[in-house]
Amino acid sequence: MSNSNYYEILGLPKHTTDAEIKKAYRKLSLKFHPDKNPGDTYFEDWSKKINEAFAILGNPASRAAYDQQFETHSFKDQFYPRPGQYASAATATETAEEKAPPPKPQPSAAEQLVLRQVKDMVPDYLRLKGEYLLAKKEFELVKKKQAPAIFTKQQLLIGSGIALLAVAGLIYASIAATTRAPKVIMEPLPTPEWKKKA
Amino acid sequence: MLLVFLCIAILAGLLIYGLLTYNDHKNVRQRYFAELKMAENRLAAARKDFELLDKPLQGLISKQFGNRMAENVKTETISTGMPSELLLVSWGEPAQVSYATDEMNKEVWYYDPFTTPEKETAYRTEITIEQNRVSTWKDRN
Repeated sequence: MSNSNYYEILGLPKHTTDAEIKKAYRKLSLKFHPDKNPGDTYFEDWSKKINEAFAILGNPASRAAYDQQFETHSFKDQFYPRPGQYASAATATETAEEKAPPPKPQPSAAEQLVLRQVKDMVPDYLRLKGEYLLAKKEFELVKKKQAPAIFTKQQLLIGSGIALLAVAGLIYASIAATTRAPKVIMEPLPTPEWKKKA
Repeated sequence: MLLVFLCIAILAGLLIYGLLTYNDHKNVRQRYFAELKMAENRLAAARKDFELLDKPLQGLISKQFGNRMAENVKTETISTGMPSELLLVSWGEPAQVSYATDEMNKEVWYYDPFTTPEKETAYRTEITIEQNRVSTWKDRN
């Protein structure tokens, strides 16, 4: 019997039903079938592991034997630290080996597959993310620039100043025309002789 | 009388100047709004393309690693135990990677480079990856 953690390979908890084991096996077999990716050793390796796990867990007798081995902590170094598992091991025997920190978790087959898919998507994802962020920055820069006014401030200032001066000049001229102009007394002209005769 | 004519002439001049330059200013304004519209369209297209890949990726991460991990990846938050592939998605490619000589599975990823006063390249964040997962990180003050 191999030292692999078959439950983790199938991505299942230990106390799972036979039906769930079959279901997980079928699903993973389809995903990792070597014919889907001929020549890819990654899929071949995982396919072998999945078949091996199902050969043990799919048979009630071999699964019972495997579970018994599981209970004796013979595979503990290959498992995720489960609640109480390491505590019980530490209290049972105070050996240096069991005091060692729990090992790093090994990804299950399903997790491996997802990570592989994610890794394949990363270059395109980063490129599109970069393009999106650049477009966002450009848009914000354009938006930040205020829309140009129909007339500039300087033009409005000069225009208003000149108009004000013109109005002031007109007012001054009209006042000057009425107050400062020399008073002319208009006397009636004498009646001409020819008019008198008539 | 002369003054009145002068004022009228100045006002007329201003009016003509305004009318002549009005079209130029109108064109500048039109160019600005066209540029704004183009930038908006570019942003919408880039967002659409990005979301086409972002949504399935987030769904994949959420399904396998849970909503919390997916949220962390989206908000560019790293956590201990995060797979290096998700770190790549979250923070992008590191500026520099160094591999430990004694431990084959240990790597240090460096992010956010800057130039020191001594004209040397340094990095503000160092992330240690062990067995393909984030183990520790260090920020330089």
